[in-house]
Amino acid sequence: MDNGAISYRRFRDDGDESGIAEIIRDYKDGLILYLTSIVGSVQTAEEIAEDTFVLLGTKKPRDKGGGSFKTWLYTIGRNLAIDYIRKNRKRTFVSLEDSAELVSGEAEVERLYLRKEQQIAVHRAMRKLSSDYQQVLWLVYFEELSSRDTARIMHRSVRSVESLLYRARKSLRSQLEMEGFDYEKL
Amino acid sequence: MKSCEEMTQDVLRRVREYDEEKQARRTKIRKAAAVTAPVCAAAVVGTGLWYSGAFSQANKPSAADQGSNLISESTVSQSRKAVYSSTDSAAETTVTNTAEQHREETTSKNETASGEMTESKTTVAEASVQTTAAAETTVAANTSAVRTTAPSVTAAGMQSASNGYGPMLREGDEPPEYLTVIQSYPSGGGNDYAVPKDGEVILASSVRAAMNEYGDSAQYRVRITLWSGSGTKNITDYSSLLAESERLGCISGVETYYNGSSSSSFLWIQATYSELSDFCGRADYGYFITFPSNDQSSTQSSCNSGVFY
Repeated sequence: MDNGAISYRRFRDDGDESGIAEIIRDYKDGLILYLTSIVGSVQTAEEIAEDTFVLLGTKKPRDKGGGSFKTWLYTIGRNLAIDYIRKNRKRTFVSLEDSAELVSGEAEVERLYLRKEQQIAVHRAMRKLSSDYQQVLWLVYFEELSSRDTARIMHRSVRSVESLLYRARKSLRSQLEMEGFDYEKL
Repeated sequence: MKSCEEMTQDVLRRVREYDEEKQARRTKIRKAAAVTAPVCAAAVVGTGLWYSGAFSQANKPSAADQGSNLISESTVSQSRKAVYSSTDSAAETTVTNTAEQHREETTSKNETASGEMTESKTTVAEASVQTTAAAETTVAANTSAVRTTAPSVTAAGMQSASNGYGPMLREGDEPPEYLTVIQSYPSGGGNDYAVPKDGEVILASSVRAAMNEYGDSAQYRVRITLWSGSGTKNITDYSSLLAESERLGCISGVETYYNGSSSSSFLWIQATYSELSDFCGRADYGYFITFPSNDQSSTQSSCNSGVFY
């Protein structure tokens, strides 16, 4: 049982609020960046991440097992993000004034979470790929999840994830080469 | 972007709000349930009692009703009525309540030979609702039957108004009071016939015998043969008989029967002992009072046969 699961159980069973605080501290930034790859906006991703933690606090769902707490949390976040996209399909407008703010907010999270310049450069190159490529690359390379966990979060088969990962890497390589990075050194 | 602390505070605040809202909703539901549960429970219990028949006790006659077997001629369409019929020697009895479109049949073996007393006791009981209607009673004894168009009778009864079936005595119910109506009596097989003069009233021997035996404890349903002109003219026209029936004022009526070739009418009354003893006839009529026979045109004695009304 990982730390996240222990903290969550402490919160769910004993009502210990520090448990949810630990979960937020440990998973907030990674979840926001992952959700950004789905919804395309850091602020929206932040809202959805907050909704994910609130859902944990209110509904107090039980993990059916079969994966880590992180996998389960990201699955919940992804489902909420997809719900959000479904509900707001026709009104995803961002003004030009806001876009600068959004970019700065994302940069802040990137800086806090990724820390290394090289990773930040790769992440920025990833942001230009499609949502599925972004998701699979993020989960495998940045969150270091296995293909099985990635498949569970993305509701795909392992084979499909591996195929998607192959194409995503290829696409990322060409994107990095276009931006003047040497992919082989990454 | 929110810091971890800010997001934690926001999440916990929202969780607390959700919990409070949930608690408030739960309290509201609990209060509503506390109000509605007794009502629902009462409805369930009431329905159960209703279907178990406990409320039929409400049809139990009041003490005032039980003591008075009121007899009247008025006819009211609505009636809650129970008709009981029995015979002394276990004659086959059929009781029909036409007012309720309801029929009860009681069957038993008649072991008595022809000529034995075939007394039928017809009891008409009615619920405490003061309504009346005509009841039709059929009593069959041996090979004959008595068919009585009873006048409307009000009495105490236990007809279940809810199910429309016959009365059902429950534990604790007072039994209904019975009214015995004599409509035939054995006289030994001999003919019993007389022609009265004007102003004269002759009771047939069978009627007298029945009156001697039963006295005031029963009523007597008898046929009256009217004569005028000092016994020279038998009055059978319907209007005269009806006028006499109305004059007599007790339970009476005029029946028309068909003997196979022609039809004729006769007057009948249901009277008490005193009404028959002190029969007040008209001075210009002679009255012969007997029990009716099953075939008014035959010479067969009414005493030995079943009777049709």
